[in-house]
Amino acid sequence: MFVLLLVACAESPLYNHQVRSKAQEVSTSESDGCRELPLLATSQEVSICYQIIWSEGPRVSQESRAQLLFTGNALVDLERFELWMPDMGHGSAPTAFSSGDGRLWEIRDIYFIMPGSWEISIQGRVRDSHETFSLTLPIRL
Amino acid sequence: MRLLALRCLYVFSFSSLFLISFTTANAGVCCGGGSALTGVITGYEDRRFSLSSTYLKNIGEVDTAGSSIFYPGSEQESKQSFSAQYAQVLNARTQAAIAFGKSAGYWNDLDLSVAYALVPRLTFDTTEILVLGYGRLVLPSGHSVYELKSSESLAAITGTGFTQTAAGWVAQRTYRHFDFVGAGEVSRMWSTQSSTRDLQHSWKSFVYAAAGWSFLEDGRVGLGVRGLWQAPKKVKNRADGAEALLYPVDFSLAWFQNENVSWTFQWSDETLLGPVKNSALSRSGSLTFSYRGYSDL
Repeated sequence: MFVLLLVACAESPLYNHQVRSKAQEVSTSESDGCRELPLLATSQEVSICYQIIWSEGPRVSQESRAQLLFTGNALVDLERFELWMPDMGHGSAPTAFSSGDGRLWEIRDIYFIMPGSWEISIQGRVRDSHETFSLTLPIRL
Repeated sequence: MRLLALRCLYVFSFSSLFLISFTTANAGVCCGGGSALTGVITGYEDRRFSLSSTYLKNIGEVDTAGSSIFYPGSEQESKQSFSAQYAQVLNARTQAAIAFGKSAGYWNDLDLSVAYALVPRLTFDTTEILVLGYGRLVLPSGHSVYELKSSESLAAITGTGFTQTAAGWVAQRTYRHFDFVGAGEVSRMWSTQSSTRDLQHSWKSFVYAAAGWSFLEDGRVGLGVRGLWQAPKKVKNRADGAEALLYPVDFSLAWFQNENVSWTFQWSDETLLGPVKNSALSRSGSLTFSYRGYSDL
C-alpha cells in the first residue's frame, strides 16, 4: 500500500491543479457572426442563419441567458435547447425559452452545473415548411 | 462467560468498523451519492444498526486528460447527508443488509445486499482469514443528474439514475493489533428509459485495500485506499462518454463505547491520489453511530 501511495502521489490532483473560479465567464466565438443553419432537407428556397448572443454568461453554477437570433427568408420554431456534457454522459436541468416571433428566441434557465466540455443541442423547424434542423455547439467552461 | 466472550469478540471486531464507516462515503466520480461499499458484517455480531451523518464538500473536478481544477473556497458547494443501515446475519454463512439515506431533500439510492461467507471464520481466532462474497442491488430512488431542476446544483444529486447489480468480495484478517481488509466489486448499471432519458447499460468497478491499528482497549485508526473505475456512460443518440478514474483515501478513527455501541469518525479525500480522470473531486467527513447485537453464546 505504501508503494501505491508513493506512485499515486505523483499524479495527485492536490499537487497538480489550477484554482479557477466557477463564476468566470468564458468568451465564445458563437456571437461573432451569423452562421448558416444546417437544414436537414437542404431546401433551395430557404436560407437562414443563426447567431447565439449571450446576455448573461456562459458561466458555471449561476444562470446563464442567451438570445438565439435567426435571420433569413423564413421564420423558425425552436423545439429544443439542451445542455449536454459528452464526457460525463449527462446534461443539466431543462432550459426554458420564450415563444419567439420566429426570429429572436430568449433562452433562460441555462445552468452549466460544472466546468468542462459542454454541448448545446438545438433543434427546431422552419415555420410553414417541412424543413427541420439540428445542430450541436461545443462550449468549454 | 458470555461477557468474557463478548469482550474477546469486541476487541477483534475493530476492523469491521472500517467497513461500517466506509459505507457512508460518497460514491465519487460523477455524479450521485450513495454507499460506496456494501455494509457487510465482518465482526462477530449477528445484527448491526448504523446511523451516519456526512458533510461533503465539492472541491473541484478533473477532466478526461487528468487536468485538475480546484474551486476557490467560497465556491465549493457542500452537502449534508444522513444515512441508515441495517445488517442481519441469517445463518452461519449468510447475511443481508439494507442501506438508505437522504440529503438535499431527496432520498439516496436504496442499497440491498446479500453476503455469503466463502471462507468463514469458524472460531474466535481472528487471525483466520474471513472472505465474504456478496451480491448487491442498488435501486435508483435518488435524485439523479438526469432529473435536475432549474437552479439545482451538483449538491442536489443523490443518485446515479441507474438500477445497479453488483458482485463483490470482502476479505479480512487480523494480526495482533493490526487488521487488514481487501475488497473488490464489479457493478453493472442497467439500461433505463424514461421520458427524459434513455440510458444504456454500463459498468463500473473498484478495488479496495485498508489497514487498521487498534490501540488502548477501545480505539482504532485506519487508512484505506480505493481505486474506482467507471466505463463510459452511454446515452441513446449521444456520443459515448469517457471513462472515469478516482482514488479516494479514507482515514478513520473509531471508539468502542462498550460491547454494543461504537462511534466512528471518517475523513475521505478524493484529491490526494491519482491519476484521476473525468470526475468531480470531494472531501467529506462523517460520524457514524453503530449498535451491534449479539446472539446468546
